[in-house]
Order: sequence, then structure tokens, then C-alpha cells
Amino acid sequence: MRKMVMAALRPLQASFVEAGTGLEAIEKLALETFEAITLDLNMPDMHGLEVLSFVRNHQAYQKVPVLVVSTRGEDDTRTQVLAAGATAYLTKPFTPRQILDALRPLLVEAPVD
Amino acid sequence: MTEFSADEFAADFREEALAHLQQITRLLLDVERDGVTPESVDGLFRSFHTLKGLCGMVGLERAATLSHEAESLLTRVRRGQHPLSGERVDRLLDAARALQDIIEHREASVLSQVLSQLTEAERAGLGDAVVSLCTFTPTPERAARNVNVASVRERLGQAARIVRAMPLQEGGQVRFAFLLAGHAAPDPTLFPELEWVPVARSEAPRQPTSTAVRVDIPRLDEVMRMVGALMHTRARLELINQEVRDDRLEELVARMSRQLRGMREAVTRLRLVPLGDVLSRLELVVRDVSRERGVQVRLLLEGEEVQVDKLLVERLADPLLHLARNALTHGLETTDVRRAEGKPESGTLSVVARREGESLCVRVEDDGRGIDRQQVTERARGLGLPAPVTTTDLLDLLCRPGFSTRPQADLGAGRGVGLDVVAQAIRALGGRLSLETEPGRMTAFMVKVPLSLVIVDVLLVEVGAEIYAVPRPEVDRVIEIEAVLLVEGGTLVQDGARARPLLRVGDLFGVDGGAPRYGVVSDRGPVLGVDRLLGMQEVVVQTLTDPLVARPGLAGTTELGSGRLVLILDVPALVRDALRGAAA
Repeated sequence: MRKMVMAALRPLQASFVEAGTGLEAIEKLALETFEAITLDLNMPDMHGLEVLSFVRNHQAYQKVPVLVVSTRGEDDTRTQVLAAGATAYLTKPFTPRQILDALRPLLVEAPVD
Repeated sequence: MTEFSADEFAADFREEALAHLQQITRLLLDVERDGVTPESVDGLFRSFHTLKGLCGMVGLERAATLSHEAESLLTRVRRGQHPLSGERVDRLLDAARALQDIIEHREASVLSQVLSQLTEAERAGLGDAVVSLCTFTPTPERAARNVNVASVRERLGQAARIVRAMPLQEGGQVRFAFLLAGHAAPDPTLFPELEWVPVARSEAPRQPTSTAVRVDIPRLDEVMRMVGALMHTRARLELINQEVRDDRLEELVARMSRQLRGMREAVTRLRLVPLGDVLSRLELVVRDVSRERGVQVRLLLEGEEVQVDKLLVERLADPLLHLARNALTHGLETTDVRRAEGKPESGTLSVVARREGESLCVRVEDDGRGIDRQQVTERARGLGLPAPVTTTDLLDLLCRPGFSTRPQADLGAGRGVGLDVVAQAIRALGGRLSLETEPGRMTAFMVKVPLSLVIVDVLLVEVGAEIYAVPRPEVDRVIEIEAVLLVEGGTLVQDGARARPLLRVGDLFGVDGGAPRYGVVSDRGPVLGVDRLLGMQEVVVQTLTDPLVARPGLAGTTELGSGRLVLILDVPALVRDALRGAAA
């Protein structure tokens, strides 16, 4: 899945750092600066929402755009994810084109006040 | 077997230890002012003794030792081996401060943070195991050596069972906590990169029973939320009653309304504490700062008995402490100067609190040099700002971030946080700060805050460059708006199988927002169209009382952490207005 996402995003000509678990993702976030995050709700250790709320509650990462991807398409998941502070939400399965289109605007948008 | 309930224990420990420290400080200050009495020595002894036991139970060894030393000193005083001299009072106060540092130290908070997030199952799974807790801070150097959260987790997992691994929510840095269970605690020397946090088991002896219980504010909030939910249910019952028109039902609904109001008031009263809790903290600060600065000061406190919401008391503490420090560092002159000016050598700082209708007013006044208008004017000019004309201008200038007439920051006030922070904190409480000053005579800061803090969860949304807050109870769902349908008299948006009218928040407030991308669905029919969703937040509502500003559709305003003022939407009123407009 991660490989697929990265392959799909290659046209952005950005550099990617991947993390296999929620804790690793947060560690990477602490050690480097990122312009955007794509986050799968389905992770081995933490729920994606926990990672998201950690990111949103942390002063340093509050403004980093987060694109959440998930297989769960139910409406309440979408509501929860958006209310938890996701910048955008994408339901699996998606085409490379769709994820690219979802992420591209997040990179140019000015950070929220 | 005792059940592991260390989370409650950790919270109880902290609460109780801090209460004893407060008692100790108060007794020591009494001794300093009014002399030693056998009762005060006994009281001090008892509190230090209890602290020793408490700290021992949670494994705060250094704190236990400190309390033990204080206790021994007091034993000797009790036996008449030496008097409780000023120097010894100082030593005890130092000990109390050191204890406070240790108890409030992040270790305690790590423990409570981790424990508070355990699920029931995880907690039950702890059983009789030896529980240990450690934290790992990632750094680039460690990452380069391949010491990272994944490798640490793997190695810890071989030494014990990892009950929970989680990131910690702290100021600037990121740390991870690992809660472990096993037959024995892992050997810390095998994990040089980890910090270990002491954990105690909860077989601690319970305090003797009394008629008072300590309740965490979140639990009261939970009760309040349930009352809110009940009121919602009542409202629906009433709607049904309007349809079926049943006398018995009507009477029951009316009775239920009264009972619910009573219940809400009772819960509100549970949260009240006397303001004295904060005011007594001032004594210690005043004592320390006046010594540092070589000023003599008499502190007059009034209004300690005023009952205020616990949360308000907590949030007022820092601003009031800051104002008191300010008075001592900027306001009151040193003894020499006062003597030369023919003033009483000892200055007076009075802090007077009282209720005024639905507000709490606190006046912090010193009889010092007053605010030097000339100096402020010069500094304003230096910054390219207009010279102050009225006292309000003066206060506005003083409250500007970074505005200080002092050449360098000193220890007390002016540690980079100035009046701007005070003013902001007061504003966030929906209150106002005002100023009175007379050159050479006095300076008084008046804080006026609403007594009832209304706190709500809101969903922050963005429209154009504006941010609005929608109260959480009004948010049923959030949808992405894919297409809209233009019909006569309005716009419809697809919500599942239904089409609902779309209200553009931008249009309601004359903000240019473009096509809304998200819709906030309430159970009131229309969908509020917004550009972006920014997330949930807990905010203090400031009601709009100024008739020039208040308007239907606004429930109030709130200030975000960034200092940005945000309007809180009154969704029912907006919807009503919009429907009326559409009908007209």
C-alpha cells in the first residue's frame, strides 16, 4: 500500500519518508520537517485517528496538511476523520490520479492561521 | 489480589500532596508573620509526615527524603531542642518548593497520561504483574545509530510484555512512553537510552473516611453533559406533547423541566471553590519577590471567601500572580526611595476580590510610584506608535506584546511574558482588564470576568479568510459537497438520499468564500456550507452583551490559542432566519 501511494505521488517530485507504524510516523515527524502527510487509518499499532489527533494537538505539526486514506467508506468515519482535523479524506480503492489530485492542492495551500 | 487502579491513585496522590504543600506554605507564612505556636508546629509536622508517606508510596524517593528531613527538623523543634527560627522557616519553605517541583514534575504527568488512556482490558491484564514505565526521546543522533522507536520497542518486547506504547503530548518535543508488565522490571542498564518512571502499586492504605470526596472536574463535566442530553430529550418530549396534547404528559414534561433545572444548578454549585485557594498562593510570591527586590510590602487580601468556578480559579491564578509580581517589580519603590519621598517605608499591595452581579472583580493595587507616562510615551515613539492620551491608551500600549519600559527583564515580572499575556488570558475568559494609576501614588489593575464560564466543544470551520465555530451539539454529520442543485429560492445539496437546503456561511456574514466544499449537517434541516473544516476544539464562550454587536445568529465569540477572535454560530437562529427569509 505504502509503495503504491509513493509510486502514485511520484509526479509531485517530492521526497518521501515512509513509516510502517503510528509511532514511527510520529518519530519521523519529530526528526524531520514535512510539507504534507498521507495517513492510512489502518496501522498495526495505533489507530490512524490517534496519530491524527496527536499531530493536531501538537503545536509544531498543527498546520501540516494531512490526507487520510482508508478503506472504510462509511459516513461516520468520514465525519470523525474530518472533525479530528484531517485536511482531506480519500476512500480506498482509489486511482493514482485520485490521490495525486487530492494531495496536490494541500501542498500549495497556505497554512491555516 | 488487589486490582490495579494506579491511575486514580496517581491523580489522588498529586491532588493530596499539593493540598498538603499548600497547607505547609500557609502555616509557615503564618509563623513568619505571627510567631510560632505549638499548633502550627504540629500542623507542619503532620503535613510533612503525610507527604513522606505519600511520596514513598509512589516511589518519589528524593521527595520522601526531603519530607523526612523536614519532619526531623520539626521533631527537634517539638522537643524544644531548637526554636523555629527565621532561618529554619526558610529551610522548610525551600523544602516545600523543592517538593512541589518534584511532585509537579513531568514524571507524574507521564504516569497519569499513560494510565488515563489504558482500556479496561489492558488494565485488567496487568493483574499481579510487575508494572514498569519508561520513556524514549528520539533524536537524529539516535536515529543515525538505528536507535529508534521501532528498535526500542522490539528490544523492550523481548524483556517484558508491552502493554501500551504511545506518544506523549508535551510542549515542544516528542517522547514515547512504554508501559510494561512482566515477572520483574527490565534491567535499566540494558536500556541506556530510556528514562524510567517510578510506578507504585495501589495497595496503598486508604485515607480515613470523611464526608468529603475529591472529584475530578472531567467527571463533573460528564454529569453536566448528561444533564444537557436529558434536556435535549425533554425538548423532544415537549414536541411530541404538542402533537398529542395529553394533560398528563404535559404535566410530567413541566415537572421534568423544573427538576432538570435544579439538577443543572446543583452540578454547577459542585464546581464552586473559594477564591482563597489562589489568593493564598500570592502570599508566597509576594514574600519571595519582595526579598529579591529589597522592598518591604504588606499584603492585604480580601474576598477569599468568594465562591467561584474551579476552572475559573485555575485560569485566574497565573494572571493574578503576574499582576502581583508586576506590582512588586515595577510599582513599589525600594525602602530607601520610599523613605526619601516621605512615604511609609513598607509598601502596600492589596488584592481585593468581590462579586459584582454575574461578574467577579479583582483589584490588584499597589501604593508605589505609579506608571510613568513620560517613559511609556517615549517608548511608544521609539516604536512608531502614537502617544497615549487616556488611561485606556496607556493600558493598550502596556499590553502590546514586547512592550516594556524596562531596559532588561528581571527575575520577577518581565521574564518575556508581560501584561500582554495577562490581558490575553483575561480576554480568553471573556473578561476585561482595566487600569488606574496616579504618578507617585498608586497603580491598580482591575480584572473583571464573568462568573459562569461557559465551555463548549466546537467544530472550527473556515470560510474565505474567516474562521467560525459551530457548537458540537449542532453538528450531526459533516459531508463533502460534490454538487449543488439550484432551485427557485435557493440551493439544494445532496445528503445521502435527501436533498437539503444549503446555507452558505459566507453569504450569511458577507464573506467571499467561493463554492463551499464541505457541509455541516445539523438536525435542523439546512446544511451549512463552508470552505474547510479545521477540527474540534474546546473553547470558552464569551457572550455578546454589547447591543451594537450582538445579533441573532451569533451565540458569542471565542478566542483561539493564537489570539484570533472567532464568532460562534447560533445555528438554530441562523436556520430560523434563513427559512423566514426564504418564505418572505
